[in-house]
Amino acid sequence: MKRHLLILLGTALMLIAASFIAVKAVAQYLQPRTAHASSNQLISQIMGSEVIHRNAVSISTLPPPSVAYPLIQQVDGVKMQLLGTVIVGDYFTADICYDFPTNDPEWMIGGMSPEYITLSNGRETIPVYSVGMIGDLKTDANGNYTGRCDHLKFPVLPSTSLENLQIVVSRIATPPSEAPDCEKAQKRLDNAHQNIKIKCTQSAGLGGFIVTSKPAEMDNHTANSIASDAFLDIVQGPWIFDLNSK
Amino acid sequence: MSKFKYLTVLILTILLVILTSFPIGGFVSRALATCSGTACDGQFPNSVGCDSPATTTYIAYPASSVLEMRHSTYCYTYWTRTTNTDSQGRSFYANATFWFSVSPYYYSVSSGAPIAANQKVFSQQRYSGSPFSSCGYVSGSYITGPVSSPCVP
Repeated sequence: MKRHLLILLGTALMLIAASFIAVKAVAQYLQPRTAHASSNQLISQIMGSEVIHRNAVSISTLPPPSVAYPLIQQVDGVKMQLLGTVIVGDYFTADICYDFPTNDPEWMIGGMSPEYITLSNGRETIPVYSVGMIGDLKTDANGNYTGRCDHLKFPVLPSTSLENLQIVVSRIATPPSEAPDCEKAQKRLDNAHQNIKIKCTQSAGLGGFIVTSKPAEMDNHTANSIASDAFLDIVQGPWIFDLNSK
Repeated sequence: MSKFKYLTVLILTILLVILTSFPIGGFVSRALATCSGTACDGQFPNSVGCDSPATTTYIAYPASSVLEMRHSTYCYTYWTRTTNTDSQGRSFYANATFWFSVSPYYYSVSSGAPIAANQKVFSQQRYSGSPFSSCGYVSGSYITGPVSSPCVP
């Protein structure tokens, strides 16, 4: 009897080990095959000067500002680093890395308006044209999401002055999901006494919300903006990077 | 104990061990999504639980809209999302097209009617077939998809 129990115990232990190996192998096989290179590779490149040299091949004759990178700004506990800037064709580009305030992969700079990230020279302010993630999201040893790096593009004209440049990031936020949490957003609006009522819609391929009522004196843009923010977690900046400081 | 009983106990032990070897947390969170891998191809992310958690990998700002390439950090899928962000609150037709490198090459969703400000259309998702590209915009007239500009990346 004892012998049989030992055999059973041994078999169980072997099966546990085999199952873990099998699960790990399957998980490895199902790893994402994405369009991005691994974050470690790209982030380590960006942290050094390699990316600047690599991009410099295609820069225009406009001179990039001379700044000792990285520039680091910390607001409300959120660290943001400007790693470098170059001018590529008609675009002034900048690489920025930042930490997430919470373990949520949705965090990103700017958000639903280009006005939240701007390039200015004191005379004109240029809203960001596009933001693209560099590599993958950064994670810690426990798999928690800790930050990301982004490539920003600002459209510039040959006549645009590159003196006294500033990049201003007004906020980082979590964009609303495809199935927004209407109840939570309405509660936030009610708690803030905004007197705005919203209604969410969701079906295959369609989602979002509409403002169903607002104070008479409030314009549509303001009502939509306030309602939109009620769906988001937001850390307000600004993070200001002065590109002409020596 | 007969050989048959030992065999039964052994089989039950094997089944128990295999089941308990999977991470329980994984099972719980997996239950939120009803597809995995290429089985997610062609499905709407919000219909199969892949829309959260997700992240925006690319974002651009065509007139009165926001164009995003979205990525499920759980299902490892990608799709396109176009949001009407018109500052005057006007309704527009919208399209979200997601391009990839293998047949059928794209998923395209056009709204059948104008969508209000803060409403969005999004395409079906794709697990396989990178490189990917997301295109879309809003317009005063119906948009016949697929569209190929503006796009990210």
